[in-house]
Amino acid sequence: MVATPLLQVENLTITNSAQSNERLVQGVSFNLASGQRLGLIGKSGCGKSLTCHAITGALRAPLIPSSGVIRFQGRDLLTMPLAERQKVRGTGVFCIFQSPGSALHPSLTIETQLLETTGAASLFGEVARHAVYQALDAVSLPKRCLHQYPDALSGGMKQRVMMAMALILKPTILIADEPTTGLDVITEFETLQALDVVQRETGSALLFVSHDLRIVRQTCTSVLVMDAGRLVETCDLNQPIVPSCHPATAEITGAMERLQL
Amino acid sequence: MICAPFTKDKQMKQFVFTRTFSGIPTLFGMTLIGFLIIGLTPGDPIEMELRRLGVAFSAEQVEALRVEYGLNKPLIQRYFLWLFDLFRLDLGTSIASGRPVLELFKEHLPITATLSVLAFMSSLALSLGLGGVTAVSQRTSLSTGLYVLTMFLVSVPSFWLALFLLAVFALGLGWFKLLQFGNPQDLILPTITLSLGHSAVMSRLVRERIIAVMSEDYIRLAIAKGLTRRAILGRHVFKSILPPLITNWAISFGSLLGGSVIVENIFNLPGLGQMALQAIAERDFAILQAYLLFMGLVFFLANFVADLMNHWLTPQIKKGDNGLR
Repeated sequence: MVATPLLQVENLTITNSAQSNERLVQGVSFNLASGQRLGLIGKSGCGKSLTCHAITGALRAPLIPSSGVIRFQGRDLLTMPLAERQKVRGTGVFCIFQSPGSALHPSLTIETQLLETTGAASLFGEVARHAVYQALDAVSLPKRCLHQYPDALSGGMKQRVMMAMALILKPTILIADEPTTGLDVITEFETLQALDVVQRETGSALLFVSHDLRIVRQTCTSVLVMDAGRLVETCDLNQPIVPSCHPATAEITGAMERLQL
Repeated sequence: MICAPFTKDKQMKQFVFTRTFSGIPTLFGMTLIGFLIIGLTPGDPIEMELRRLGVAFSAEQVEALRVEYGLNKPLIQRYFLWLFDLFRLDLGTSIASGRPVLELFKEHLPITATLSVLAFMSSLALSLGLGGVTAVSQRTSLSTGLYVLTMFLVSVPSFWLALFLLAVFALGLGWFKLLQFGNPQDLILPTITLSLGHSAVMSRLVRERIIAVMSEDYIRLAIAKGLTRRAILGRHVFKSILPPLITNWAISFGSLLGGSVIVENIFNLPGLGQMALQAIAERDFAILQAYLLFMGLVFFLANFVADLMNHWLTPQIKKGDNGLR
């Protein structure tokens, strides 16, 4: 018997309904098993983020998932009623978006934003508060951050606040959409470490999106390569990437070699 | 939990202090310019008043009255005399009616104030509702219908709307009395007239703001966190749309007061607007000058309150915040 994968994306196509149904993502299919760490790489604008948004349900009109299925634990997210879908969000699938600078609400304190997250994870009262403290501790943020507003925190700290949210929610699937965009190398390292902690503690399956093969190598065991809206290759990162790979993959590895990373 | 305790007490005091003191020269400048413009307008108030009364008068009589009202002095001197009186809370005497301006204000202000506040409150509620519905129900027939309605209300002048409402509800249905003031319900049609146009304009703003905020990254995170629609709209979206709207509302409160001039005249309400319009016709300087000062004060206070609220609502932009950077 073959176990159903946690997340099955089948033939996902995303179109721009405002621009004569231009296809931005075409026929993307992949599976994510529980506990798996899967990378998703590709050049800017190849549809990585759109794929993530489709999975989390954060696609903005006029962009729509026009065909395909996204099955989470066997149930199609795209046809699910909104109320049920909302229950899946957060504890089922959670996404750390790129640009931490704008991902936190600027006029709500960190405490408010973390505490409302506990509500989505059905934690209330003292238990909720305790969960917040624990999460802060795990991502090594001081408690005084709680009473601050996001713009008093650095980019790396903001990203760690997002990690703390993930720790509170303990999602079945954690999607990290270029979580290190705009961070310097040291902060990037810290963020990846925090992400590692989160993944270990929650046991989530991880979909790690990046355009940087170097950090995907550090985080994931296998990687999907996207190019111009299509999924072109799946590579096992434990083995060297073969010369006969797809040109898009070759381009990324080639660039890495030139930069001697 | 939702609202941060207000800890920047000292900063707040400083803000209030600087705003008050920068407002005073502005008000003075405004009254000076207003005084000069009114003073340089052709037409002598004494002669006009005497003609209106239909009395025969000689040049000497006019001159004597001019001396009595202080109109023979140079304009600048008259301004400073007016200022001096202002500090003693004496706004002068109306030439046309011979009554103190302050007394006339006390008589006419309540109607205008009630009308403006009612119209302001109802347009706040209406614009938030209309804007919210049209923003959330984008690309549906409901939203298109409301769009057409608001565009219509934005384009229609208030005097037309006033006459239309009078024709339908007073003449046609007989729900209201025509051109008569005495009961509180006589304020209903004027309030609707004044607030409909305003709420249409404001609802467009609310809609734009909601749509803009909805596409922010932090709203996407709020959705991904699994927050309820109510929490997202009620907390995250509402808190973000408010600051620019508050500034707009403050300005619109001032223009509601100004707009009430037309509405008061059509509905024959003895408010400040009607008083001011009559004062223009009669070159009644003292009233006009007081009206100008009053409008300036209202604009100043409305903006002051708006800034104060924004200051309180967006704690993150307070200067000198001791961050953790």
